[in-house]
Amino acid sequence: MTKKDGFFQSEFFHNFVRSPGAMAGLVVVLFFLLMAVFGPLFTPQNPYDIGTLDLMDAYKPPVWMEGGDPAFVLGTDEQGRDMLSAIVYGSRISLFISMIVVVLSCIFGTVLGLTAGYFGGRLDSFLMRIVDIQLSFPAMLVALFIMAAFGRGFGKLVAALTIVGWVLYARTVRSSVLVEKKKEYVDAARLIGLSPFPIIVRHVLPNVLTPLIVIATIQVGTVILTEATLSYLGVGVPVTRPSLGLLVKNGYDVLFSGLWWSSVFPGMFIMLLVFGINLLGDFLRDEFNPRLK
Amino acid sequence: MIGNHPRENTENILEVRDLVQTFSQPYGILDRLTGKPRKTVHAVNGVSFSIRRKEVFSLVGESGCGKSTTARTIVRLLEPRSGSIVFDGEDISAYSPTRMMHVRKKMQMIFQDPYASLNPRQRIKDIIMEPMLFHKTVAGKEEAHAEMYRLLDIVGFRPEQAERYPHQFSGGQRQRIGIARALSTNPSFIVADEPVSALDVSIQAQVLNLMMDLKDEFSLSYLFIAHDLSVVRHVTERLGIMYLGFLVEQGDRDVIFDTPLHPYTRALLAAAPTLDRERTGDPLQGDVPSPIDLPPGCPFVSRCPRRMDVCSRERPVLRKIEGRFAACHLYQ
Amino acid sequence: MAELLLEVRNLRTYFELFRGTVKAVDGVSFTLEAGEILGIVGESGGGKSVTGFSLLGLIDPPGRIADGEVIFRGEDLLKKSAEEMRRIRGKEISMIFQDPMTSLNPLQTVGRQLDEMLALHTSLSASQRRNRAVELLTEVGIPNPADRLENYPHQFSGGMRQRVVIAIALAANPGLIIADEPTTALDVTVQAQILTLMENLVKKFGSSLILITHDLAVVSEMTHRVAVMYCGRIVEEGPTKELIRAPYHPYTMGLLESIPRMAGTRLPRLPQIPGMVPSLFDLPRGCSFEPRCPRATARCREEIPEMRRMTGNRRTACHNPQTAGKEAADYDR
Repeated sequence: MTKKDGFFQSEFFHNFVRSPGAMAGLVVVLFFLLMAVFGPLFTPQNPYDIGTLDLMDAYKPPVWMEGGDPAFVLGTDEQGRDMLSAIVYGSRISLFISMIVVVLSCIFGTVLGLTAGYFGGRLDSFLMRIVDIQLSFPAMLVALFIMAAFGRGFGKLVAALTIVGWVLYARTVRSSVLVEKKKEYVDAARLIGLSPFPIIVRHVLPNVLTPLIVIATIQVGTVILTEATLSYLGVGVPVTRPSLGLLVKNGYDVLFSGLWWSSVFPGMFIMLLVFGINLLGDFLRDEFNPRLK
Repeated sequence: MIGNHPRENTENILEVRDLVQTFSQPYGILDRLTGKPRKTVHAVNGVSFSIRRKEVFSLVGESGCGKSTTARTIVRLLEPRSGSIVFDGEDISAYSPTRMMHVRKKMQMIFQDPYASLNPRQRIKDIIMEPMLFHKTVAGKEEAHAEMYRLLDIVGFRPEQAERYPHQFSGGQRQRIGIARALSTNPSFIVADEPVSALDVSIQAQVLNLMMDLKDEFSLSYLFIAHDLSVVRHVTERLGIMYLGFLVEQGDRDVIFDTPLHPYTRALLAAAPTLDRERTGDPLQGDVPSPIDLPPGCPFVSRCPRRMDVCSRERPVLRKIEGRFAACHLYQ
Repeated sequence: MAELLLEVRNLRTYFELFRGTVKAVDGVSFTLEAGEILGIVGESGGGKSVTGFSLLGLIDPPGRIADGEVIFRGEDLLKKSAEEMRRIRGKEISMIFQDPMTSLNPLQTVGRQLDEMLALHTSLSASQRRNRAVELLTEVGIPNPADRLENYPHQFSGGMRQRVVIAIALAANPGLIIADEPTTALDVTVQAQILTLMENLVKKFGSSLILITHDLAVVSEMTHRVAVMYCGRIVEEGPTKELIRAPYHPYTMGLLESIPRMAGTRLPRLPQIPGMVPSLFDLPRGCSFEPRCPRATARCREEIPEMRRMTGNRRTACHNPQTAGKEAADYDR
């Protein structure tokens, strides 16, 4: 082979920089990540600190409208909370929940999918029937039911979304395992005398990761939407720590009295974030799985 | 190499007796409800042969004849349905995975598809060191590295190539890496399942030559699985011809190639395209019958140009005829 | 001298890939007479399949036919529109592929697929087409042809499927059939059936055949003439028997030597061509075979050899061709 083996010389990188969608997605996602990490250092307000809020500031419009206040660039909500600050903190919560959920459901789904696919038999049938049953209900309904039964809260929200999410990973991993375990390198590992656990971890797992990366990326966006919907319906995050979805809901109550900004701005940020993630995910899918093109 | 062959006195490295292998076809709820009969594929039907130390024995036949299944059962990738597999004096046919452990390092396998037989996520050095570290045939990491470099050198690679991944190599090179892996635990017996059939002609010759060199250098015995008769003639000392899961003829290379007796062996030899002769006679007609419903008589009866009445009634057994074994009513 | 059916001049098919340009076919020229069977033989990466596809204009991006002429019955196929080529494919030139499963539509009966071909390229009526379909299946040796028309491809064995593909290829009685590794996926006894069948049918229908294969033994049994390809170029071409008896090009020699024999003395070691096919991204400056060639000289490193005429009807592209034939084997054992 040639010397061209580094990442920046790879075909992947080459295609990435030349794909407007992927680059736009990357910019958006990086923007949100930076905002989530460093945003609170720059926001004018800590929206969680009730002491800093002043009811006199309630329902201020964005700065470019009549009556706007330069201190509140995107206006304020009914408690006089600065919308920009609320959005920065809300994005943080939305992204954080979504990433934890994706990591957890990916781990659960992968472990169960690997087990089902490699060993097959009754365990496989059992696990896959659970997956089938769960997939025959809308994910939202399942999550809604769990949240309604156990009440709102971060832990419960993450648990509910993970329970909804793992099936997708389990199914994908299982079907990849079925393909991989027929390959001769797995036979070779068995001939060494390795027992199933090291074969699965060292030989099968590394070869089923690629589709997982694609799904996980796209799922970050999907989970943000699900979380937003749950919060919007009032069964998601606690009211004291509003995510983007809850901000939309809070603003929605006054949307039709002309106070559109406290609902529309958080909504636009959700859209932008999910759109960016999907652009990235679509590029990864096209790169890693030519058959889906 | 000392201590590698504890039973040097036994003449055969491998003795297979009456090996049977079947697979049941998937039988789901729908099949049960509709009352479909359970179907069984009879892949290997009572195969017996033995391989001497430092000998190459080949199993030859067309796809579906059971040669690969036989090989995979012998190395216990598949559980045998019945029959015995005596390796180096031990019947391993019912060994548990734990008891198989000490046998594993003495029998290894070279695979057909060089693109599927190496884990794409492992570096070459790890592929070769994994078996020896697992079986502790080396004292430690350092010795494993030294041994790995020695093996890579033997199969024709430079040391720095050990850091690379399989996708950076061609088919022939990958096959040589697979051979180095098979050698890594210092085995005495290697099953080679169609080791050159996926390779280009000029690369075939390289790999075959390498395998034959290693045979002498490492005192190896080979079970060679192939469909290409000219390759088999080049490498093997004895061979068995399989059809529909049965051994139909078995004997020394020159006896079989010069004076084949079984009509299937003759047809197979006549059908193989060659550089040095014109094709003669009509090709064998028809296709291999389904291994689900075995014919009651001779497995070859449906295509045999010389079939007799007895052939569809009675199954012929392998008998010693003219210096080889053949299962055919013509000679019984 | 028979009628000239096909003349390929200086065909070049390039693929523009991320890592550079691959000259898969780089200046290939050959001719084919009516009724002739030509073998194109070589190893993977030699360009033999791409040559076949190029003749039919079946090159998709990132590939493109960069140069050359494909003159079939006096007309340059490379100048035809996509629409005109569609009419030529199947009617004038048809193709048989390695895997019969991918060239047949799994969702249509065999009868329907034959009928489609006949409806497209002949003026027969519906009932005539049905009779013709039965005739064709009989022709390719399928038992109970009238019943089999109602079957789907998966109800046929691999060999039978390839017979169906041949029947479809012959349906419009084309002047030229291009068969790309038609028997590679089949067992030897079935391969023998299919090869015999193809040989007989080509003779009977008066078609020409280009047989693309990696198997020199198949070529030696089937073809009248053979072209050996290496790295996108024809390195040697000539009547099959002569070429195999005494090849000029060291690559042909090496290929022949490295095939184990079915009869005669058994060599303890096979003569082998050292090294491997160079990367098509990074071909040697001179002759592509130079790094592996036992007869290479300084000139071979610098200068790409031109095709030149040798004795009789033979051509080779080599600066130092093998002269007297086999006794001069230069390969290590």
